[in-house]
Amino acid sequence: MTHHKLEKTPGLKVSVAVSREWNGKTVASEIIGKINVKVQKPKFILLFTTIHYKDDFKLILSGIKDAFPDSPLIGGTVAGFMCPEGCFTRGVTAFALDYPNMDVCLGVGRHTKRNPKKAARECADMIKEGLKKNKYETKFLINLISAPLIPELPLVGKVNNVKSNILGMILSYIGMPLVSYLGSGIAKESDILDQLALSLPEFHIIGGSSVDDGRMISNYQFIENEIYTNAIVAIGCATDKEVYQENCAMVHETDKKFKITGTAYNDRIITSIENKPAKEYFFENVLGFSEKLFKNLGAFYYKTSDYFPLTFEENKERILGVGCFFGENILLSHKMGGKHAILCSVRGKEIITNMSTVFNNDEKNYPFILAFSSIIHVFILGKNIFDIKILLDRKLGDTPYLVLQPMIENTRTPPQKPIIRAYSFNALTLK
Amino acid sequence: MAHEKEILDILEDMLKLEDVYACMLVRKGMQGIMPPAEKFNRNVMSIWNILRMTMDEFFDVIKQFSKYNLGEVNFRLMNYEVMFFILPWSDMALVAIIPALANKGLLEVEMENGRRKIIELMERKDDSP
Repeated sequence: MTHHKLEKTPGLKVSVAVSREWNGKTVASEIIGKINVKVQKPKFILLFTTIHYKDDFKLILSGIKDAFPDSPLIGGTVAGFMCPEGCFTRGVTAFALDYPNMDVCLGVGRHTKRNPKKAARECADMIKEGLKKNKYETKFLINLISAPLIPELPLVGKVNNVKSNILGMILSYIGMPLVSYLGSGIAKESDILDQLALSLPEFHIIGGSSVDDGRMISNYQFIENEIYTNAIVAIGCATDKEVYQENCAMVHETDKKFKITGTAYNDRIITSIENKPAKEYFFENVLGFSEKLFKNLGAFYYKTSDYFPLTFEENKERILGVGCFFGENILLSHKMGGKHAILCSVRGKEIITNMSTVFNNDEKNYPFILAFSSIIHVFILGKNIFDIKILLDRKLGDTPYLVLQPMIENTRTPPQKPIIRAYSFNALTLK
Repeated sequence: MAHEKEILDILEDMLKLEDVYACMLVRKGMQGIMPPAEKFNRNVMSIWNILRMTMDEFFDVIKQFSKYNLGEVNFRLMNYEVMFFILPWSDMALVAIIPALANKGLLEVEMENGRRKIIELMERKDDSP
């Protein structure tokens, strides 16, 4: 295993700070103290919390902004994170960077579920405006997008895993478009990223979907002192350094392939497979077991579905999971990548083995690593996620690193199209 | 037990997580450190005796196999799961009772953090003059 000896990048300072305190004021104080040790005037700050701090967001944000009033800040809720201090699914972390040859600006777009392209355009326009006088060649953008929320219908309440075919059809064709206007349902990350890439063609992109603890009940995004739900927040940076990105997927294809013959809601819901009702076909012919094995579909979702993501012949970089079932229809976690689907599988050992393939190039110097890697890995690995930390510590030495664990992650190296998927590891640094 | 207050703080921290219904550092016979029962979820308390008896049976297994560095044991009883994170080479475990369909992956990370902190505290005792 290669151990990277760091060469200090002149002028570039990074601090990764963690607080495990509960009280917002104490959290802010601890984070500020830790940032100040290495970075006294951050060019920007990324702040991430788990959902446990939702009653203290204002205290934490105002505390940090009071201490660093000139440091643009974005962030939001994630389900967990990993850094040299440890692995955590409860806590607050900040990534603070300072580098003299860098211009920075913030962007936000609201109502991402209702109108994802408009939200992405608004965010991109702010970034373009903020960097229009910049003189540096290389540009990158770090984003956080509101993840899916379990749909909530007026008079009905939250709906997830509906057995009734009639209600399932209503939800698929009417309910899901309706709830997006009300701020819940699917996140539409692929629409957002496609628009961002179109609006900012020269930008490297990295980010993820802001989530709670996987329950999909609430999530929050921060920009400066403000707290949003249903938004994209982003920080755009221009610098004289080059961007280096690495990414890898953690799943393997099985030999189970099937043709999607019916869809709804703009290819986010599968209604039929091989011209048969989708759920029935999926269980019996693709997964190869009966739905009756599970006392209820919630048990399938919690115990099994994480291990069987899908990808597509037409776009193997699109990896997604089964969200829930509406009658015979299957709601996917995001837009499908084609009509010829392939069942994938993932094993805990595979996740760890694939992680050992990243950061293996001796030529790279890493002043920091900022990464996004789906929380689904923690669902699968549990405490064995610490094995990944051991790997990263060995590879990265004393390089400050922060791996955020959102619902799904996104990445883009221009001029290629953005990649939106779960079950992957995407990292960015400067060189 | 040394560092009892700090260990209690760790356990009470874990109890703040929504899906941790009860949490303790114990060995067979429930000897060890346990937060006050009123801080536990009421539903768990209603079947506490059954849970205790079942947990005690598992502690026999833990005691027998701890010499092989048995790491974790889980079992499901009714609508609950009981997670044992065993302290290395010992018959004591950090135990949490959670609902059956809770997200175990996330909870395991915090259980592991709890176990590591407890081990750190206990080793501190061993290093002291």
